[in-house]
Amino acid sequence: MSPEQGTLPVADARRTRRELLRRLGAHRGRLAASLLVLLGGTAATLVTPPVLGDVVDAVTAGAGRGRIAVLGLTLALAAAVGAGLSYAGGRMLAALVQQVLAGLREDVFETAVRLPLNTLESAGSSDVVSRVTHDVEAVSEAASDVLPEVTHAALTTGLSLLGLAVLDYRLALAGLVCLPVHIHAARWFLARSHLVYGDIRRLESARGQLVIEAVRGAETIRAYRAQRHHLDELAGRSLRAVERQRDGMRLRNRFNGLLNTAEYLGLAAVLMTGFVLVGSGAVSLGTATAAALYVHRLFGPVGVLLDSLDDIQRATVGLSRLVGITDLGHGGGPGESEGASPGEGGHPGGDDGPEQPSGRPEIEVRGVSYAYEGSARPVLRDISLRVPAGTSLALVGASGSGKSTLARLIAGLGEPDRGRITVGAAETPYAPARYLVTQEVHLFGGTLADNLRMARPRATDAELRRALREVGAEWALRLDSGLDTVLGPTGVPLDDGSVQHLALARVLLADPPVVVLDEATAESGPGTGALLQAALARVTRGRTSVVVAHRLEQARHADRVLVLRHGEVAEQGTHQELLAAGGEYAALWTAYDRTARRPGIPTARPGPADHTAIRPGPADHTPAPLA
Amino acid sequence: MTPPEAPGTAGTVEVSGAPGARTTEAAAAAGAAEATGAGEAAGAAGARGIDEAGTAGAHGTDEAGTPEAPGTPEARAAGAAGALGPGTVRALFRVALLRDGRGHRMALTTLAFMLHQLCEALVPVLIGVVIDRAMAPAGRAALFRWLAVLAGVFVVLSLSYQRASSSMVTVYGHGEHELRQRAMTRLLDPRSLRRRPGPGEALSLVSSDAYRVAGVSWSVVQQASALTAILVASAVLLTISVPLGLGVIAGTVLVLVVMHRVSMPLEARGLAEQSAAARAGEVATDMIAGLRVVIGMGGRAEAARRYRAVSDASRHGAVAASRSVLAYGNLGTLLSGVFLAALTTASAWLALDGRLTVGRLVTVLGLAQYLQGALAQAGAFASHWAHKRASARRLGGLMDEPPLLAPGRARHADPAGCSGRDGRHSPDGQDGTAVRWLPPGHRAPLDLRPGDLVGVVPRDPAHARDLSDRLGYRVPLGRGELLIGGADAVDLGPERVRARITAPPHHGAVFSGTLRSNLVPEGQEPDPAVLGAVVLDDVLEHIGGDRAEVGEHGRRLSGGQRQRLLLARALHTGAGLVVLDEPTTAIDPVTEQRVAEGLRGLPATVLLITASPILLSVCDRVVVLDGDDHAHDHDPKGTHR
Repeated sequence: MSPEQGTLPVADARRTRRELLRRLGAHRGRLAASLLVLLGGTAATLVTPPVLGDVVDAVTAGAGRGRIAVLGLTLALAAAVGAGLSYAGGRMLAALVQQVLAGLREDVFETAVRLPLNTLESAGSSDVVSRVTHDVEAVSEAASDVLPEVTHAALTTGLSLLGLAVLDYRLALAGLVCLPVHIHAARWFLARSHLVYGDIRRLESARGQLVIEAVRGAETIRAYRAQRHHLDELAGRSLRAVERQRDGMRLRNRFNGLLNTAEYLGLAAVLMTGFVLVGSGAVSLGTATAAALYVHRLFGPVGVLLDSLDDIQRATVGLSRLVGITDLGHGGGPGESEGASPGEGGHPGGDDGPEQPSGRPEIEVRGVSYAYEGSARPVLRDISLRVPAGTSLALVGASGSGKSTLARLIAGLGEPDRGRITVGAAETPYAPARYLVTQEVHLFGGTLADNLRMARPRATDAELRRALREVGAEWALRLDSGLDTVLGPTGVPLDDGSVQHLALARVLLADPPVVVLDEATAESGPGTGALLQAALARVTRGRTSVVVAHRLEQARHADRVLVLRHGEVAEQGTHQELLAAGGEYAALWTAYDRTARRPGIPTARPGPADHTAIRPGPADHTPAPLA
Repeated sequence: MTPPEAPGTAGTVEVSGAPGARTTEAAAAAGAAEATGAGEAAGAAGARGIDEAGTAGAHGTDEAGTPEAPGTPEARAAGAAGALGPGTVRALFRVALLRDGRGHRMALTTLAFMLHQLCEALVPVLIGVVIDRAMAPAGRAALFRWLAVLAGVFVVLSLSYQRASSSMVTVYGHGEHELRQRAMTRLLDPRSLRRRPGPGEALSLVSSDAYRVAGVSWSVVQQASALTAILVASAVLLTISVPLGLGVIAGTVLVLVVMHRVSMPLEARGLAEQSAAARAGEVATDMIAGLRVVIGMGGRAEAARRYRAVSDASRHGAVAASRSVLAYGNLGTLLSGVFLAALTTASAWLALDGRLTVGRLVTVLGLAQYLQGALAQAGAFASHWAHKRASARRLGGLMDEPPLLAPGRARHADPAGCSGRDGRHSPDGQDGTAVRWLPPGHRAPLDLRPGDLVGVVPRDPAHARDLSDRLGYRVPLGRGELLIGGADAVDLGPERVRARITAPPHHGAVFSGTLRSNLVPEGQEPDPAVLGAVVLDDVLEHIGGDRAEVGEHGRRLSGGQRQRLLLARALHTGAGLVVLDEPTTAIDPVTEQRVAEGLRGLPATVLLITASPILLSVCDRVVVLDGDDHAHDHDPKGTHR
């Protein structure tokens, strides 16, 4: 938990350009080929104005019908060749661009997902999410929609000017009169557009956020009769966005006005030059016609070109944020140490995990202290403990006492500032795999099988079913489409207790020698409590385990209990020892036990497994994916 | 969730219906929502690039899902009345185009766009005129005269476009705004909806469907301009030569028909492929959202592998989609090119015969070239309309969805002592009118008196949710089930019941904004006694005071902190009764103990639906609803607190 500030790096313009060129350069042959084909296609369609000019000349010269028919066929042929080549080149370019894009986003994702947990936490996961989704989308959109348009417009513009020059260099020069106006318009617009459009994007994404939250929290809003507040807030954002859109349109209008001016200047200049040249007999009427038609044809592509400058600018910003992430991956950044992390490399379910050390390892923590980045107060101070092989330890403490942090360090996600944590014999090259069941409850998109195979991709269906049965998740076996049942908001929604049940089944699939459990779900009902308790017992059996006790029964069933207070060890011992000692734990337990034993409140009565965990969840209940 | 018939909830309404049957539809809707999330953010510049992904999933198949609400004939009557209401396609288009003076503005805007298009068509005509009247006969005066006319046309062209597009932003922006507000109002209807759309579907209704229906204004002006272009060009050509004009009209119709035929299947394919492209973003979000879970299980490699797989599929989808677009675009180029060639040949032959001057020929050629563009645009119109109508139908379904809950009776008004319309602010909202509740399946009613702290032990989580749904009037209630100060909840209606009983859902939502905004309505001060009771001090210290932002969905808080915040919010309403459904499931036992003591110290009347021994230990009374048709009633301490 730390402030949500984007502290992940952003690549500078030069680095971004280099990276882009590197990625495109890997396919330079195909790139050149596709551009060449596109060039051919554009050139073919640009035959049109001179042929039309020839038609004019042929008519003035009183040529025969045959000549006109030939010219007409040429036009049709040019259209056919142009369309064919544009299609072929466009396909080649699209395939290439999409390949480069997929490579980039896969690298971004892979780097992001391998960032050390500390980096992620201090950067704030929202920054990472917005990069792997919004920035990737912005760049994809630019590459898929804007790039082909821009390529086509650029080729058309360039070739039209060339065509004009071939007709007559004086006509071409006249056409260039509009250039200074274009440059001025583009500069003027770009200097202002990113401010306004940046604002609009921010307002619109804030508005989208409000919509998402209100839709997901509809029941809560109804319960508090807060409809007015939420609708007003939404209306406020949305009207401000409209206001800003109008500012944007004002900018665009002035920009368009300048473009129109440039178009008129160019056209008038070419017509006047043509007038002079035709008058002096330097060019034919047909040539002048062709030139005017060329300039008229240019209006469209030039507009597209200048209009897309803003999109390109935005895509570049997104790209620099993506390159900022991929650079973490191979730039010797903190990502590198992760490869050796026991949490990953030594994982039994991993595709290429090393041999699993036999036997159950012992956990030893010596003098460990830890503070979060930027925080002066340490979360853990001089903690020492030992979990003998195959036994379990329960961590008890108030929120903020450091139990979850300690659990995470023991699980190998992060290094202590001081002290040492060893798991198993320290000499072995690979620490034994440690598996952490986190407090966060997350249902992965997709089917039941997809959710389970996260922990062991190659597990067979039979293995999945066995794991479910062993943790007592009979309800999952009875789902309509079995293992292929789609879960979550688009399928069968699950409550937190059920999701956590699946998390426990995953532990069995992964079968790690060491398991750290920090699962916080304590859904209501004596039946469920007993069910999850039994699942927990099954999961810790035969493993060295550390359990963060969110329910006191978890502590009672553990071999040893350790009580944390303000990051320090307050007491430790077996359940009985601590009760006898009469300290904090004993007081807690006595209060708990007194109630639990009251008749009629059966805390551990084994309930029928079927009506425990599953339940249709209305909108509010679905675990929200990061937006 | 699964067993859709949860035992012992016969009277309950399964809002989400049969899950299996609607999976694909919901998936399509969710896909659309994802896609538009991006669209919303990116669609800043205007109405370009509307993603139409949602149309694939046809809605309105809520057969099995629609439950019969027992004992609410009023609701059904209200529903029937609603069917005539605001949900027709035409009504929605009217909102987008005509309401709030938009009709007037829309008409002017359309005219301005048509004027603009007329000027655009005049440019090639004038080029022809310049060549015909000035260049061929070499007349300097004519040159300047016609260039001046051209300048005038450019001025009108530019100004009309600027005026029209400015005005269009207003029409479109406000139209979309109003549609979104209407849809949102329906989704938040205090009386709830008979068939409530899931989050994915709701999102796509409020964002992409509203967006598309509002986009009807763009369709209107674009089509009006394209039509103008074609009409002007044909008219000019008719004045030049009747056969040519007729030929152009025939050719135009032909091209349009072919393009339209081709566009439909291409577009359908494109949509499917687009949604494949959107999947990569979904998986990325999913994996990063669950990254701690992934890391905990050592699943980073698997996460990366899955992303690569979906990214690859997404790449194929994108390539295929761009192939469709390319094919369509280039077919347009080809057809209009052939059209141009035919027109050129025909008009040149006419010129050879002396039936057309050279300048006229140039005009014809210029117009033909100009028509190329307009033709390509007009081909896609029909499919645009199809998408917009589909969106409007979906949105209309929401507008017309009958409410789930009966409105209550106005005259049956307020229970004794509760005259204020808003219990929260009225001084006698807390007058502590007793609540009498008869939980379904139990004979003995439960009386709650002011100041009571009563525990109710549910059978299982589903039962707990059901009980809190009833007390929060989120599901239809039977007569006599819940009495407030002697008045039946059914007569009071949901709003007045909620003013007196605060019963938030177990998984309450935390909204982005400050901690304070999540605690109390604007302008109210948090109550230190409540903050102390739910041990919120460490939360305040953690995020830096009640003015600090809690992040999206309260993500800056841990699960336990969020739960304490939700608890504090419920206790801040000052309602006569606060119902808490398992309020401490994410809180550790040490803190839970403190919360329990804190609750006991508060003067509020509280009903705790919980199986937690720690919470139950502080209750004055505990009732176990174990389905044996009788409740165990305890006084845990045998004394008053």
